[in-house]
Amino acid sequence: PLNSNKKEEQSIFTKKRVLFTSTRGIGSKYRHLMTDLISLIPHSKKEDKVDDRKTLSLINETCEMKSCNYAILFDVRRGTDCFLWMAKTPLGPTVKFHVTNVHTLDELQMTGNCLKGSRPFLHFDKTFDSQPHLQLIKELFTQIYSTPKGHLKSKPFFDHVFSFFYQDGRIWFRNYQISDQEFKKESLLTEIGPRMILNVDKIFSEGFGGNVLYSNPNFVSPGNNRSDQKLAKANKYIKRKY
Amino acid sequence: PKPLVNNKYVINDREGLNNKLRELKLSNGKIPWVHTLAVTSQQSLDLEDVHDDFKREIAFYKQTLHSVTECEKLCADHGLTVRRKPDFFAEMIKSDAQMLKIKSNLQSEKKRVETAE
Repeated sequence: PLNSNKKEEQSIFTKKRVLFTSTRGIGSKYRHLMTDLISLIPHSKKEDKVDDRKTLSLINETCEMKSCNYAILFDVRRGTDCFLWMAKTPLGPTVKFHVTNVHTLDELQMTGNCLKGSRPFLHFDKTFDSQPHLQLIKELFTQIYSTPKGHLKSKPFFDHVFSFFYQDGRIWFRNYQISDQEFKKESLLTEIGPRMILNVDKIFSEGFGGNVLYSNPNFVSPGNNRSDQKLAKANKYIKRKY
Repeated sequence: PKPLVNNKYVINDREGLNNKLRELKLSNGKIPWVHTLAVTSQQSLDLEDVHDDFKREIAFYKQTLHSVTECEKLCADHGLTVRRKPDFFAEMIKSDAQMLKIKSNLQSEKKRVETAE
């Protein structure tokens, strides 16, 4: 009985799946980002596009049907503004990010490579421990991005690392290859990609719904940002005049 | 460019967040390291200007490298192999064709620099 108990304990960490889905009109750039992440996360499952943005909570049910306990939604609006929703379904939390500065795996300046399915090391910078909302995000990231030990598609070697940094009020994501140098006995990192910056918009208490637990005071929606820029430009003459 | 207006309604329910975190953590946060492979850096990134690409990437690189050595030590402690065996072949994230493209791009770049000199 002791043995089976231990097995059950272990299955909490190993039995997990992440559902990937997107809204319609995602566009090539963000579609590439999505396929990159899917190829880097072996415990993922891609699902059909979501038709109706008003009923996102239906994703909880889709997750249950596909036996997934996490979900990532790429919600692209106006063809340019990409929002990334990451959730533990159905109990939550859900974090909604605005994604900027995306570089995908296809870009030639990303020279690294790694095995398909090798389990990544995860690196977080110190700031993630400083505030409740960042601690929550760190825990969610750890659960979503860490590949289960002994997963069928995983490899028993370690050749890449996902890094998360909190700088300038935003989360910076990097993925490096770890290659060892035989002579120096020291590892060397080469960037594999993708790259992105995640700006927290809101944190909800449940899977794609519930109360707002956190809303970022410094977040400006991309639409507002654009109109602000335009306004600032438009008023240039008036400001100079008076 | 700096945004001009900030959000009108600010919510930071610290208690709610902490409760959610407690709820979210698997087995009270006592997950063996082998399941997460996660480390948190103890040093802070002292960046004067995040928009200085070169300095920022160096700082990111250094901190990650530090964590990688730590992870490798932890792997050794838990009896996990780090390095791939030389006779182990498997599918990579990027295809051979893509890697060839990257290589030729690097070479042409190098050539360009050389001719410029």
